[in-house]
Amino acid sequence: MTTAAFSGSTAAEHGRSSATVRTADWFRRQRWWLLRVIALPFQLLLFALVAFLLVRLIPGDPVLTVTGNQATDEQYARIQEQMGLSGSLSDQLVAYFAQLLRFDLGTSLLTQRPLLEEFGQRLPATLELATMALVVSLLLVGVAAYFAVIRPVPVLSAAIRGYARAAGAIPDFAVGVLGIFLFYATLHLSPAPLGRLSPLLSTAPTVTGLPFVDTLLAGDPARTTDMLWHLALPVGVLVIAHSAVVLKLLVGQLDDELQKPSTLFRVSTGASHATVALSVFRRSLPAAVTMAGTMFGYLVGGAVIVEALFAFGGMGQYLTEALAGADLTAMQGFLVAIAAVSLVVFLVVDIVTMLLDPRRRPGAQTEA
Amino acid sequence: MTALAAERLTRRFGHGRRAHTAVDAVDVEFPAGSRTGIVGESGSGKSTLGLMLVGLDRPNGGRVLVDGDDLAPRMRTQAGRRAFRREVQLIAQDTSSSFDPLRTLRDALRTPARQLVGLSIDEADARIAETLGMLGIDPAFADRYPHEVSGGQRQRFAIARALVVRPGFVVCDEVVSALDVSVQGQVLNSLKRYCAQTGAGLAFISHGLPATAFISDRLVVMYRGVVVEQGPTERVIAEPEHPYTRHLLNAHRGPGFEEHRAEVLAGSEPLVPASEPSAGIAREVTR
Repeated sequence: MTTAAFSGSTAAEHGRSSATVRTADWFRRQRWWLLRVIALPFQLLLFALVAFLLVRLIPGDPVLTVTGNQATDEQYARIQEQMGLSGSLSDQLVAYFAQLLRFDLGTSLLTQRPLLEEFGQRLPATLELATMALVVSLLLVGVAAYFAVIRPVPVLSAAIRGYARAAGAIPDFAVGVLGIFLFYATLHLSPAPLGRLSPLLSTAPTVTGLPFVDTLLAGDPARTTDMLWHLALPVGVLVIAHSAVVLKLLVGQLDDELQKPSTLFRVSTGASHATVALSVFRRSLPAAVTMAGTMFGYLVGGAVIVEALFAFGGMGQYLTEALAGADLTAMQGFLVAIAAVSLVVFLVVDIVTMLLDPRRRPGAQTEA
Repeated sequence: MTALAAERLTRRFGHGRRAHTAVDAVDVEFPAGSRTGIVGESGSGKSTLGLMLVGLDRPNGGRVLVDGDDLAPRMRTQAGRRAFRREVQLIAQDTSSSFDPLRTLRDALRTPARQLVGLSIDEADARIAETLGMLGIDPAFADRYPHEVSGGQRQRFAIARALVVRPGFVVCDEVVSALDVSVQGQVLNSLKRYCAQTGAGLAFISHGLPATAFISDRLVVMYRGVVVEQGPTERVIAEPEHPYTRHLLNAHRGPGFEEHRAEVLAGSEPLVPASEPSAGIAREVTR
């Protein structure tokens, strides 16, 4: 803590321009998140290396699987080349990294289209579904935790705590099938699980690739309402199946923080009830935010299943086909794409928790 | 100048067979301007008594009297609570958890100055600077987070947080037990000076007899939730009446601790420390 002030003064003494000192000072103060952002591409390359090796660890000859043992030597060599499997392992790796640095994930063997284009059409929809579920979950978790801990309501609090204890006990596919059976087949409250829009409506023109955002941008209220009506059950399924984990953690954290002396001293120094509640919440959040990042990973996995149940199309279906067809480049590209998404999610998680809690910033000194 | 009194004050934790009486019908008077030391081993109920005195824990029975008036009705309104907390402040034992880790120390000191005294931000900052000066703290530390200062500095900030409202009565719970001896002396001196200058009363809760004897003019000895002896400090130390007080004094006098403990065990109530009550600061610290 004293070193920062010390080095600042020496820089000034050596007569460096004040702009340099200011820049250096700015960097020192912003270092905690800047370093984290700078590390991102390197982490991604590391993941790419892991993906590269993992795919090559799959037993069997993928070229044979694709050609079905009926190719001529010439065809075999051509496909081997296309799959990036010709030459030594180090040659393959260099070629693959050179390709990645050009923002090229390769070409799908099955569809013969660039993977970036293929993923661009499918991944955003899956991520949008997961993100919607995440936002709804976090809102509900916040409200539920408030009524469970900060302002307990007799029966409601017990119900919320009960649900939180059952965290993740029912898998998402079971909740999905149950939801369709109950709300579509029995109660007829929900539309048929056959896509994001009623069959008579046309899809909105693609602008962002995110189906709901595009529909909103097209500005047609009827279409927007129809999509919301179709999305309610799938999003609800994801929320019910996955949000309990975060709720359980947040309720536990709130219980702990409420008992802490810092809360007691907030009260004893005259802070209002709202301020005390806010402070307890803020202290409980970092752990819950980290868990929410993990939950997003589960939500993407859950979204793939929900897409299958509700005939949304998307990443899940594409992956199944790629796997069955031994489409090596597609699998490898998918691993890298998902790693990129997760890395960005965890970057956001890290920055949010570091914003919330100064002790989590790198270089922060902590005493026992 | 504020006088406090505990009148048949009782606090029980738990229900049924697992119920535990932490403080059992305690009668103690804290006259305005007096400095009272409360000593006893862990689990003797002294911390719980302290929490009830400052209105942060509610008794199951008995009353806390503030200048002769019952405290309970005053605690029912926000204005009443704030007026009381401006008069009576608590300084707690574990400073690493008594500050909100996400706010700077200045923030923590501004809350009482603004909410309890009603100062503006500038006035609050001036008051904070004055208080820090009084306690010999470098004001530059105020803009740090609690984890960025040492335990001794944090303890002095905890005292500053209480004194910033210029209370008429201060309850100190083990404020020097975690500090090394040289820092203990500084902290005790600044507390004593504040009380002498402003005429504020003090309740000094500690298991450490020397520090307590140094700062207090009266001693209250607690054992398993009950006050076993109280009186002027010199008298209690020179002529202890209760066997437990004698045991406590002997424990501090060095050798012979085990022999004396055995003697006390044979002669009076069993000396098994009661389990710590499950609430408030006590639980956090013993965890």
